[in-house]
Amino acid sequence: MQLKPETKTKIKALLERYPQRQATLLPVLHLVQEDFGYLSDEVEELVAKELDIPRAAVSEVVTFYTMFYREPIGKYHIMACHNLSCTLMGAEKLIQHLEHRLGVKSKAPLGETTEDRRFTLTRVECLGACGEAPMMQINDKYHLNLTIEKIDKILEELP
Amino acid sequence: MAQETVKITINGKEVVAPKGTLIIEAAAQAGVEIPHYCYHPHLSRPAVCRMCLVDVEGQRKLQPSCSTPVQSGQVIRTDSPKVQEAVREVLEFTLINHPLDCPVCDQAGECGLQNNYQDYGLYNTKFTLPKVHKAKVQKIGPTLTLDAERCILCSRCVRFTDEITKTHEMGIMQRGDHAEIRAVKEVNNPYSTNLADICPVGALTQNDFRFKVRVWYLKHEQSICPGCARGCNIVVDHYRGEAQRMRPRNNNAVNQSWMCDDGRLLYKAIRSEDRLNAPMLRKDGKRLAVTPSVAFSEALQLLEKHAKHTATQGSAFVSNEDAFALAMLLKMMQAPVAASLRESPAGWDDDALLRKADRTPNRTGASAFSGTEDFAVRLKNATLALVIQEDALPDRSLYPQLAGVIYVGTHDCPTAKAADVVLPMAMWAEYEGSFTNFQGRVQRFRPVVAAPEGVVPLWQLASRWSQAFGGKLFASAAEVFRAMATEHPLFAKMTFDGLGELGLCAPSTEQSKEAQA
Repeated sequence: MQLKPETKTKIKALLERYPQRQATLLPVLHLVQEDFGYLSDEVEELVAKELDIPRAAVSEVVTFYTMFYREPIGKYHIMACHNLSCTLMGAEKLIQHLEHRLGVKSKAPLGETTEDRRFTLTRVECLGACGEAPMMQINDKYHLNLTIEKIDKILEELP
Repeated sequence: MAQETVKITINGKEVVAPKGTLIIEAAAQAGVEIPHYCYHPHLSRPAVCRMCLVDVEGQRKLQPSCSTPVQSGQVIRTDSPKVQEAVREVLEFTLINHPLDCPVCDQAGECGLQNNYQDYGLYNTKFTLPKVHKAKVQKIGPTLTLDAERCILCSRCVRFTDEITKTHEMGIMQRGDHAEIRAVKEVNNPYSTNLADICPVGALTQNDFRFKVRVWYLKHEQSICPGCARGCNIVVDHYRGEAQRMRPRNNNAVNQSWMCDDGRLLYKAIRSEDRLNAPMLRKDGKRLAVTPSVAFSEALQLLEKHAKHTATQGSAFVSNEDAFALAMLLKMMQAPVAASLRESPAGWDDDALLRKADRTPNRTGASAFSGTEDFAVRLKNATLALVIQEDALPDRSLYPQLAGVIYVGTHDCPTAKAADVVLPMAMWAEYEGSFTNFQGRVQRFRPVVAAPEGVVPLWQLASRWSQAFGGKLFASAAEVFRAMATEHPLFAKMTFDGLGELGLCAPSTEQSKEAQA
């Protein structure tokens, strides 16, 4: 397994931007996760080698942040908010509906993935859209003021 | 240049400390103990455990004494109600997810949590929720077992592998109450067992010692590791007459707070199977066990008969006193001085931390009483060979003129098997003496366990033999040392008791020259 040449070039540019090699770790991990989809042991080793820092330092950061994935996830990552405002507005029912529809269990910090690897259903804390609760995020997009019908439509319309 | 000092007040007592000293260190020097987990004198200070908080007058918040240097005029309290409450609450917080499995935990009795709870805790827990569980009994390397649940995240092990061994095996993974210590690769560096020492709780324990003895049964004796020319200062813990483990003892001039994994297991040689426990004579190709007095006089007869024609191989494994008493014996016999010391057994190279390629504990000391000629050369003109400890004469048929071979040593070997008289001698853990390390530092070791019945150290044998030649009979190691100090500059102006816990360097040696410069 190798890092992509263009990723390596981007890493080189990042290294110039920070006073310490270890400081580049967060942006580098995001880059690499985009390439591989998740950060396996092997990928952690690659990053450690590329940045010339201990593997343990990479693992510490990867496990600290929930948005770095240690296992493969679905094409669409549904992050359903179950924090206070969304719960008050009926989030639990919506999450139950999602679980039922997709046939997977929602969990934090990383939920289950459907067998066809299309969806991963994760419970998350507040994403800062309480005004439009209940809400969920699918990959990089927010979906607000949800109802069961709205969710069904969103899922059906996904490419 | 005199060091700059500052005056501070700790708990109402005025204390003078060198500038830049940390409060926790200044307090320790003044006899005030401040509880702590993450602070270690030879590691960096992240101030993460928050147990060492103290009240510094004029500061609104409590300060971590492990990372706050003393400043002139500081008024510090470690016993105010504010500090006591803070420390109690930090401890309660630390223990929230701790499994409290002390009855089955091998750290019990030497655990920082138990000790600090008794001294600073004694609260009733307010926590009623289920605890977070983590991985238990992980064999993270050949020497260590990790129980992540017991860990309090002081990060000492992470810092040790980052800063001291630079092998980076350990890390703190996850976050919040799920944060746990994990090894990202096998922990098999040559200093791994130090992790078990510095772990203040039962998270990292040493495989070799786990569940062997409850620590409160152990007795302790200060000693010196005989594993290489470094001479790490150690404590030997023993129970029912058997050494149970070796652990490092602080000596900043020699080994800081560390020792290597190989050194740590050397206590096993004391009771190993090939240990020579009883004297033997060789008759008609067979070895017969005899009483010590028979073997002693048998050897003495040989020595008297061949006195001037004795070739002697000394050893860098014996104490200064042993080597000196042997030299005195040879002098009285009018025999040539002992041949040059044999090379160290191979094993490892010098490393950046402690280990020396020379795996003998006392080359510096023993060579002061040895010659420069090779044993093989000496043997050509000798009729008797006296071999100390070394396997120096495995094939005596090369020297047909040899009428006798005397072997004095701790373990069996081809030389001992071919010898006419075999006299076992006491090992470092069984008698009192001193080693001189590669820096010229003379360090004292003390008897930990009893030698096998009738087995004495070499200096006693040599001194008793030398009596027959009109030599002096030494009554104690201290007496040998006194005579030695007058004879050789390496020990000039030293006394046996004056060596103290940390040893001494003669003025002529390099280390004391460095210290003066």
